Amino acid sequence: MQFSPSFQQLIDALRCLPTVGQKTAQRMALHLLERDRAGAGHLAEAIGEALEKLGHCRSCRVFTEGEICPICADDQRDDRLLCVVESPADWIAIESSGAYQGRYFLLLGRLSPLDGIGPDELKLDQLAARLDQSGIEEVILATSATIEGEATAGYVTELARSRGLRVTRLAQGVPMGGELEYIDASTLSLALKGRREADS
Amino acid sequence: MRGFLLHARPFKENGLLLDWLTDTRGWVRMRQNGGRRVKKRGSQRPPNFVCLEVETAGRGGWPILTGAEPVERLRFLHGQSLAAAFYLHELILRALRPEEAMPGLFLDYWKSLAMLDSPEMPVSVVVRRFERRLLEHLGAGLDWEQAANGLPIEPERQYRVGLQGGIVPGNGANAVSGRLLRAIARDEALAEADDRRRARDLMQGLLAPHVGSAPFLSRRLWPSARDSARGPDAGDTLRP
Repeated sequence: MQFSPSFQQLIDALRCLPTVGQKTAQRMALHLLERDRAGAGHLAEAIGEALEKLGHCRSCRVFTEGEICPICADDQRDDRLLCVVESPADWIAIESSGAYQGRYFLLLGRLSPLDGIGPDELKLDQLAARLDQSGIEEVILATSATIEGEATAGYVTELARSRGLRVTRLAQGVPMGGELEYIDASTLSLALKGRREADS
Repeated sequence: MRGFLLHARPFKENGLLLDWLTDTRGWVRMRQNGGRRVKKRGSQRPPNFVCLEVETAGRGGWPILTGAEPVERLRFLHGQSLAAAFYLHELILRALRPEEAMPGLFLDYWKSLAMLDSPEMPVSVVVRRFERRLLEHLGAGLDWEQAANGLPIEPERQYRVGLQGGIVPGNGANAVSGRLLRAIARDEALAEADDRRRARDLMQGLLAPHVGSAPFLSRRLWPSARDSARGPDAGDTLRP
């Protein structure tokens, strides 16, 4: 089917979103044009403004409007803790938990030699410079439970330990609400290795 | 079919493209739906470094992974052993063509993992051994105990090594000692860092026609690898 150029352009543009294929893009385009033109205008404005204003925080590489993000500027956060995460999505997940009050550093990727991503591509010299700043006592590794995440954690561990910093990793094991019979062998194996004294 | 997962990369929203080294079909690429989400047992990314009984479905294109059950205990590699395993994966994916069965290489990779998992085994020995065996499986193996002239390798003599001419007595900048060649042949650790570097360079030169000359990123995985040439293949004879 042949659409008008502008309509086709909108469909093509919407397809850049994850999980959005041709049909979904068509539905979205029709919704915006037929039922919510004001919403479409607001969306276009918000995307334009975000692209124009958002960059990475100079300290932690989180998206922010200024040079420093609100978390890095917050003097109530614990300067002694630095949590190293792979992606903005991981950062949001940890921040949403409300269980962490320290600082962050986003790697914006992970070491993966077979994908051509090494320490230089991740710009880990920026992390090294961050670790050299005074005040940090503990580096918390929140990398994914894959061999790429393990390699990344190993590299960052060496960077941190060579500076005399304490290094910890997120615990791996049985998730909340998880039933043992449905947990895979790798997770169970790690849960057994990482078992701890029962709380009294 | 049995296989080892070599690499996984994102595919569409939640899926994965998986590269396997299998016993009957060599390097095989599959896709796994929902592999990046942990929803239910068996739906997540399969573990690396463990032999899995692999089941697939689908015709044409990439087969879909439907099951991957371990046939041995799980293996977790860390530090230089992990970096070395990444290097083996880089080697395999560069050297093999898709669906080219190499059951011998499958077994050699399996043995290499067991060696990397052993605290006593020097990482450099595991890597040199795998490189030597890979050359053999690619049809470019050398007789490391005997020179091209039929005489046994003498430890104190210098040799030049090439894929065409084999091992011939000779001197020069690229010549290596018979002692080093025998160590490679017998999977023995080399005590001197200079010998280990020469062994690494020798194997790189022999493998280059099969894997190309582009640098291996796995060699840069650890900060010390840059500082003191302690990479997984150049590295020290003993793990940290």
